[in-house]
Amino acid sequence: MRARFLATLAGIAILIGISRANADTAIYSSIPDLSAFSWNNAYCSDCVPRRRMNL
Amino acid sequence: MLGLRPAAQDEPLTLLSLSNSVSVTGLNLATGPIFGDSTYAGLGGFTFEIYNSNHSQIIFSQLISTTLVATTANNTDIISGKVSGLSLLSGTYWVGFYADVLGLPGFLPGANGLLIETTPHTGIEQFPLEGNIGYQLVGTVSAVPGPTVGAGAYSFALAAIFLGWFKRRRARQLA
Repeated sequence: MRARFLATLAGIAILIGISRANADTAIYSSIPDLSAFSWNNAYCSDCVPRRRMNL
Repeated sequence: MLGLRPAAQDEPLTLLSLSNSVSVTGLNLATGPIFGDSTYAGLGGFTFEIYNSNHSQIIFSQLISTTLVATTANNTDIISGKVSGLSLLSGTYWVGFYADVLGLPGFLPGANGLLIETTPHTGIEQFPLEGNIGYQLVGTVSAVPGPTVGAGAYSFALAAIFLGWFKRRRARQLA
């Protein structure tokens, strides 16, 4: 009986571990907030850099 | 954003420092139109490139299909896309987002603040840039140094399984 209880606990612990390991989250951010652009410089791939933005 | 048709090709690269090994499954990017158009390269997809620590070699390149997440401040958008087959060890890399006329807003210095202009797909530096590109990598951390909650759960699971097996074995022996 006790062994079954422990096995159940073990199963739950494994499931918790798997769900934590597989959760897709933001693992790196180059800046704190992507939505907070306020600086009036913009870079551009395949065009002249440092365009002034239309603020 | 305003501007004229480009006279030269450029690809800004930003420094990426990882303290853990990761599997990358997606990304979010702050972008926007350069020429005052409502359409721009970001929603048409772009090439996502990872260079080695001295940006002398491309170690990963993938065409990313994107979706609009939100329109944000000052005529910028946040777009997202899926990435497949990208695992990175802890270390230093350079990251580029390339498409024909892909606007990349320059944020004031963020996590690392290191940004350079390069000749596309070569990693050859033209000159340093100020600020930083706004992007996020999405995925899983595959190796975390030191004890974690997850590691504790695994240890507990193994200990519980062993204890259960040992008790049953002992009960059988006594019977």
